[in-house]
Amino acid sequence: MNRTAQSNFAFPRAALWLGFFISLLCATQLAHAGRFGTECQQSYQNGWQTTLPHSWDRCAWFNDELNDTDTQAYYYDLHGAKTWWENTDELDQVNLVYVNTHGGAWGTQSVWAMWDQNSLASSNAMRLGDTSYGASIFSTYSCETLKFNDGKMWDRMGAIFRGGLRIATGSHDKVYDSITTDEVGEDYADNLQDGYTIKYSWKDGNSDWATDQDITVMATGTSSANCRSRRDNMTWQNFGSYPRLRDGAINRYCYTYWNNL
Amino acid sequence: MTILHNSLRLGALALIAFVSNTFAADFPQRITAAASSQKSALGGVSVPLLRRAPGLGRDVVADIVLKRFSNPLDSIQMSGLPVIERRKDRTDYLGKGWSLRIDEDGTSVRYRNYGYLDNPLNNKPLPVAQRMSQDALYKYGLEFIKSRLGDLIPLSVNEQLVPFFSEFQISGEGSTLPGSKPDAEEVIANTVVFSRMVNGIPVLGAGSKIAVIFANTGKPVGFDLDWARYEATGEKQPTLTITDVNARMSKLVPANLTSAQTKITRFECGYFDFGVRRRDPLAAVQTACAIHVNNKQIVDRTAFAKDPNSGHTVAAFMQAIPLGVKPALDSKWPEARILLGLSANPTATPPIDVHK
Repeated sequence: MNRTAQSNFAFPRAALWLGFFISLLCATQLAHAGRFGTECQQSYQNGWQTTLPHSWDRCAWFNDELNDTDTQAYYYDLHGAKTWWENTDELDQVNLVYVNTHGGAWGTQSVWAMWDQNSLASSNAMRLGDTSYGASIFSTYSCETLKFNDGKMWDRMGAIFRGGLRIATGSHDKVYDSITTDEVGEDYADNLQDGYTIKYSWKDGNSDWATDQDITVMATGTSSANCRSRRDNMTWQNFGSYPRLRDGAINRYCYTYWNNL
Repeated sequence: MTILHNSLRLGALALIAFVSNTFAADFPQRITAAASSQKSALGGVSVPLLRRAPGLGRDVVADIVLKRFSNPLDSIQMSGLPVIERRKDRTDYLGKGWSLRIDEDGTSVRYRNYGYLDNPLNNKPLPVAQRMSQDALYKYGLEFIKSRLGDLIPLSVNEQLVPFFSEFQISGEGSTLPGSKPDAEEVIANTVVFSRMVNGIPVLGAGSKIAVIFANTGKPVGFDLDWARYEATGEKQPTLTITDVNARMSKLVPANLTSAQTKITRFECGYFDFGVRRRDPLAAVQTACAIHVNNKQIVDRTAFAKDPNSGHTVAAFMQAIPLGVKPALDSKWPEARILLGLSANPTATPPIDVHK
């Protein structure tokens, strides 16, 4: 979607010109060419996981939106992807990874379903952020992978963050495949482009008031205040200004979620 | 064959337990309507088809809203000179800390003032137990809608504005030291969502919804509305009985409904309005049963046997099952197209397969 900046309501002419210059200034400030990659799956080998009918739309529309302003490094399916997720720098070749597949929260690991029968990528075998470009934002439209209510969120997601990943977005319970959620990737990308915080980009992108979406965002910090600041203020435009925190530098994890209580 | 197969499934479907018939965050109007849906759908009656009337247009609505919320001291304010992005289907206004989006025909508006919400001088996190009550959310929400949005929410004499559900923004954190327990969580924001009933029939989907977001102080900090005036098309649509809905459901829901690991968490029937962004502009607003289904897909039986929260992935679907005996054509609604013998909408191009 191409954008143009112009007024459509009656401001005085001087205000319009002033607005125009401010628009140009802000547009320049928001200009940012990040690298992103997308990995999604719709159907699975021998039907070992239920088909996600809207996955291709969700992911393709995310790409179509974000590649208007940023660089799309790859768009892969999940055939044979476990090794690439766990043992190579594939996910680290971009700043932002967007994923749509089934997920789960096991005792001490989060898992993402690959196409291959019985193949799951495990958070315990993943470390993001310290090779190649180094992933900063890991956004997965998958159920449960940011579960927290058993007190094991860090046990599950710690390995991934210890490489320096800056922020993860996902769900603590359920995100739905539906005709009403096929555009959530596009909306997320759109919000990122507009300079919303990553936290609210994910939340507003995935909410439609028609489905019971359980939305979660997670970050790390050296202290409580540092973690909150990173979680609450990071944007697609400024994430690079937040130092990577690795291994022993991470003292706190923090999260925000939205759901029914 | 299909009919026989579906008939065989009915017994099993009848045994599917609804996880909850009472959602703590749902308002009584929604709970009552859902209970009626689970019992008899819409009772098999004929229901008038509706159409969404065009709105005032984005420019007129922008003029109304920007003037109405121009006080820079309010928690909902659109002061200053926003960056304006005019697109084919909507206009965005990006102000300092706030944003406004108005869709093309002016029936859908989204406003956020996250700058206000996240400023600790304006909004202090509170223990979760101190979140706004359902009663308070209803009262504050209704007051905001009536006093600030009134003329953007047309209601005919046969229509009702009803509270639908609440949602909360919660934050939590913990130490990364082994064995640490998470800190107590805090509420940050409180949201109430309203919907519409037409002749006593609830409107489901993204359309006919108003959401108002409140800081813990009770100050409004955001709102969504997707609200068109409805007109009767003059046609009536006979609707299915609950038995026939079950049969149709087993045909259209991707998950295995007979599995012991499948749960239906919502089953609600009414009009289904996709909202301004997702709809076929030529299609009528017709009836559907909106079903939330989730399924545990067991991968490691040993782990699952030890801990039912482990060893599986989760699949979750929200299906809008057309309720009309013969659905009206809707080019954007795959389930309606399938029932009419048409192909489902083509999906986007699949990604590259490089991992093989």
